[in-house]
Amino acid sequence: MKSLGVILQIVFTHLISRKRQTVVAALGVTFGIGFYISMVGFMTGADNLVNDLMLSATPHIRIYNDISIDSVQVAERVLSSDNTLVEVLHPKPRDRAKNIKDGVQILSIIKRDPRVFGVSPRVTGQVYYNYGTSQIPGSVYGVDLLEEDKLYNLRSKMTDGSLERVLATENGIMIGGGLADKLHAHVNDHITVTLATGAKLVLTISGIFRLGIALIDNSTCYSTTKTVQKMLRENELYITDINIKLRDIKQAKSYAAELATQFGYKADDWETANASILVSITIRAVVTYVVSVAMLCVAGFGIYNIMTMMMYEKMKDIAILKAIGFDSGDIQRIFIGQALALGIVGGVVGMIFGLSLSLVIAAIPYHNDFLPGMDHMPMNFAGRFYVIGIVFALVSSGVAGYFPSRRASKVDPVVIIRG
Amino acid sequence: MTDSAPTYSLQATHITKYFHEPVSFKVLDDLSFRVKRGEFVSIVGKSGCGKSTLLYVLSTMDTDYEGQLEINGKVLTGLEQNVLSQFRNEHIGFIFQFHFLLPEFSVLQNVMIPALKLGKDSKERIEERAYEKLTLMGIADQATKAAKNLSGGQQQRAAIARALINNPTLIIGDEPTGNLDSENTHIVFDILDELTHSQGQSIIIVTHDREFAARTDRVIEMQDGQILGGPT
Repeated sequence: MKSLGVILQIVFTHLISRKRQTVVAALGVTFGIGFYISMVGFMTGADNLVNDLMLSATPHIRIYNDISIDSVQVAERVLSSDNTLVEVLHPKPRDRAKNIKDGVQILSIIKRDPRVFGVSPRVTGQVYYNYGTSQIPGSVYGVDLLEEDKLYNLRSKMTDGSLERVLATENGIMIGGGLADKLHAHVNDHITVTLATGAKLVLTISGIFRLGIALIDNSTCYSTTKTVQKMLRENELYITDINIKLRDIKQAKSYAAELATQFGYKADDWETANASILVSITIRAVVTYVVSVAMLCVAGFGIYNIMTMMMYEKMKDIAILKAIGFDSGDIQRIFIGQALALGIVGGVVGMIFGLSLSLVIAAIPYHNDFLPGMDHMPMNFAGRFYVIGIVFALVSSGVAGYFPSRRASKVDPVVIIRG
Repeated sequence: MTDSAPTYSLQATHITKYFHEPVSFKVLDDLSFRVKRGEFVSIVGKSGCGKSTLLYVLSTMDTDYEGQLEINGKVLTGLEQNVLSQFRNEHIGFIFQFHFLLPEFSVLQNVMIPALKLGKDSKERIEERAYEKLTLMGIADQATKAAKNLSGGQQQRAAIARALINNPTLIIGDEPTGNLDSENTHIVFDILDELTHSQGQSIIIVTHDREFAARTDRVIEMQDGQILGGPT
């Protein structure tokens, strides 16, 4: 376009000659974008933290033997015909083993799948922790501690004792922090547990861990598979759960379904297992976005106001420009150009502001007894928030500039010049 | 400036215009007149006789009229605003009573803007031409100053330079000397008079200044929306 150069010249001269208005309008965008970026970063950072926590306690996929009844009862199969109604009331499951049969073979098959990052067996035992005369119900998980550490970084969750100590101690266990507090137990103490069968067993505390999830920290212990198998009086092939970590977490749902049909056991992906937490994350994300969009809209209104004011102040200039041959489109381009320039400048500065704010938040120390791995506020520096920020700055300033620009383009020069 | 250019740079035929606010009122009543190439015409009359209204119809900015307007052989009545603004840019130069320069821009930029908008020359060539016009107006030394920092007479001369930058065939002025002292009025008149003779540009000026009007080639006197003495 031939007149683009002169239009840009007018845009910049107008903006530069009104420094204070320009700065105020651009600052509106800067704050909007800056707070958007830092707030969304903080919120998603916190969500990621919760996600990580969840994943540290939940495998991507867990295969287990779900105790259930057959959906078609034997009586129905045998007696059912066209004119017989068969109803079995209150069916109950047979006394079945709780373990995964052929668990070791299944383990080795899954291990070969290229989608799988790591797989580990688990033996779960239900126990009561004896605390004086009262008993606290809980679980003992028998796992391959070193493999588990590789997959879930168990070491970083430990607040006392060590993995090696658990491995080296006869009947050694690592106990949840909350449970340890409740039992007033420390490393090297002995605790007595009662098994479902009624047998009692003395275990040695060789480590204390905190995942940050009360449910687990307050009621569970980890030990070696061998120790738990021995506790339950089962053989070395006894496995109740298989935990899988995938290379790509997004495949969890589909792969879980695949495994369920392949082996005939229940396979839960982490999203199914943590549905309630994920719902709260989703709701928080919606809140975050509503607040962010509101802030960006406020910034847009700031531009709208300044542009409208500018339009009334520049009425005479508009009339002159029209008189000397600028058409409505040119006038509109001048005003939209100014709004976009404000949006770009405000948006870029806002990105820098948002980044600085994020760095400040991320540097705030935050210590928490329940989260041993955490020492600062969580922050997500994902580039997409910056891209969304600048795009929104442009869109909102464009829209905000559009309406005043249309009004400006309709100014009748004769009315203004004649006064 | 080719030989095939029409004899008349402006022809207005049966121009009639109404004001509708506050009450319906016929402000221009069946006006017809023509302006020859290189003619310097002044329009005089009492306040409210419609002379400024006529000027804005002739300027193509006001399109709400009956009758026909032809400038430089082209019928402009009924054309779209965007076409008209381009026509103005190329063929009509404006001088207002108050200089109406863009205050934030330098004098030079003010003069250059219509030519930059037309976009027929390079920026360097336009700047050269702008300096020529400013030199003609005797204010080349003020070129880089902001327009708002000039004296009234200098501002009006800068506005004339701006009106001339695209070498328009028609220059229209609404009381261009209304705010000037007699010395500056003389300077402005001489410049305009010179243009009609040397460049063949036509000029239509609305003025209150009878003495100024008397020195132009032709005086059109208006009363109650009509030209005294009939079509000319």
